[in-house]
Amino acid sequence: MWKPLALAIAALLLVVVGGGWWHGAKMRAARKIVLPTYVDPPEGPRAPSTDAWPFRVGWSRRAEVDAWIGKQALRCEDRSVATIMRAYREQQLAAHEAKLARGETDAISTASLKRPSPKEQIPQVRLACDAVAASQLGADAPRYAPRGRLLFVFDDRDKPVRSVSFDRIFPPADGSAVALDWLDRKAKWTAKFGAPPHIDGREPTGDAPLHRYEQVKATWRFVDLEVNLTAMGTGVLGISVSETVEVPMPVRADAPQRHAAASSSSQAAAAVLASQ
Amino acid sequence: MTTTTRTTNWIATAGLMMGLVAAGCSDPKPDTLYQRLGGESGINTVIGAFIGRVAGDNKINGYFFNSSVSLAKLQSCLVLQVGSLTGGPNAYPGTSGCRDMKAAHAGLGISMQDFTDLAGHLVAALQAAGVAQADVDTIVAAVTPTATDIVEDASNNRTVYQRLGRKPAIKTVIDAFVAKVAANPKIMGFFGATNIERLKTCLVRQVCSIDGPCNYGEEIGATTGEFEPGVSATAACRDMKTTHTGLMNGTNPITIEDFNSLVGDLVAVIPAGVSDADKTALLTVLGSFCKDIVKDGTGCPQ
Repeated sequence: MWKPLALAIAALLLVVVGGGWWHGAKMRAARKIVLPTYVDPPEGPRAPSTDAWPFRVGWSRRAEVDAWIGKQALRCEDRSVATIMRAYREQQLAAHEAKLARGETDAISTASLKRPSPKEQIPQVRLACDAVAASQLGADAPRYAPRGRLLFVFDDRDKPVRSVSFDRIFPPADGSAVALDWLDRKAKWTAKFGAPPHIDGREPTGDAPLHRYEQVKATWRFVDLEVNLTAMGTGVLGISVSETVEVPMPVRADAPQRHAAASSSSQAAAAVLASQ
Repeated sequence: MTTTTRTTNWIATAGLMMGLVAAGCSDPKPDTLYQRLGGESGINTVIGAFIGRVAGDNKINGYFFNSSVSLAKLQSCLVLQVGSLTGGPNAYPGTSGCRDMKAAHAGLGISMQDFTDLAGHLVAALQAAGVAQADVDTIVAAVTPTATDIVEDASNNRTVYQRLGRKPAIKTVIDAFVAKVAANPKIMGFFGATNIERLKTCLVRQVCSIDGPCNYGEEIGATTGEFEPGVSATAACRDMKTTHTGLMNGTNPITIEDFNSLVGDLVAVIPAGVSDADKTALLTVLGSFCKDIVKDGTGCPQ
């Protein structure tokens, strides 16, 4: 008499436990981060230099950046998505736990806040420094730019910097200043890499500033480096100018360094062979 | 009477009786279009197939992929309407609760090309059901005059939605935009662990809802998986504030420089032929979300 009952209970337990495990596995899989697949650069011309102000894209590591920030006495923040989401969750958890202590909620509701969100697994590091004076960027600094945001992007904490950018916003009445900044920076990158093969849009002039949402972009592109100089009208808030030096996605961030190491080895080997 | 005569009479009588029996067993030829279509049942099958074809056409399915549209009610009204047009027993709209064509389509901004595409699917459904071409032509001739009550944009250019090229063209722009954002190291991290297909669906519907047929937030999903992946009636697209909760409420938030980078990526993919006014309309949609994305709306247009 008991055997059929025991079998039924066992079957029920199997369904509940097994189903719960299967559901949990499915949820865990759904929350798994899919990282970009990084590749070696394709065949083609490489950038002769990856200098980005006092840094080298594809070379400079977090420690070097931190040291420079300290020397400049800048206040920079970790604006990685993982950091933002973790801070938000911890904020929510603290508020929830305070409610729990006052008896205004239950432990089950709090439990979900203890579980990290998928975005907290994103390894990318974004280090942002606001209100940086252009002059702090060294000898290669933009001469006509106001204070702006300096942003460093690393694929993860162990990789060299992939992207360095300096974004500034000019007041709407400063059309001439925008034009000066644009021409100055275009000349700078042209001196380094030649005339930009691509300019999309109308270049700003002092007497014809960019309209709202009107954008101009000059691009210098190599297989392991891309420099973008962009100006965009944002309407009443003015005109934003963005200068970005980066190893283009999906090329691996350390591609410039690896290429240099490989070239150096080849040259050394060639020198040894020539001397024999 | 001779034997031969009796036999002849018997054969003739039997033949006559067989003829009469045969005549009584065969159906009379249907004498109305309604009957030739198979009555309500046959029409229901055709209309079901027609709705399936419309749902599979991304140029026009936007009018139907909203939770405020009952596809079941639509089908029953269309069955009644076609029945009425083809000699069926019930007049349209009668007491069905179905609306007349003008009322049902008022304010939707339906273009002539929308109407033509829809009519094409009706013809295809009828032909696939084996309806005789003469009957197909009759139905088309009966439906065509309804354009007067349905079409509000005869030149296909009254709305941004139509001028951009309806959903397929919008989808092309959104696909290019998302690809650009995914390759932009400065902001791609914000889209990590995001259901990209759902993101694209919601962005298309957002643009489509500027002045087109989509009602953002009324996603239905189940029958639209091929064209609107990632959404459903229970997982509708969310407003920008809800979507970005956490990213903008944290201590180290999204800033106006990040937002401008996003806008710049959209500007870069808008096709060259789009007018400045339509480009502004498109970008204003994104711009209006600034204060829901950037912490405290710092730097956003007021």
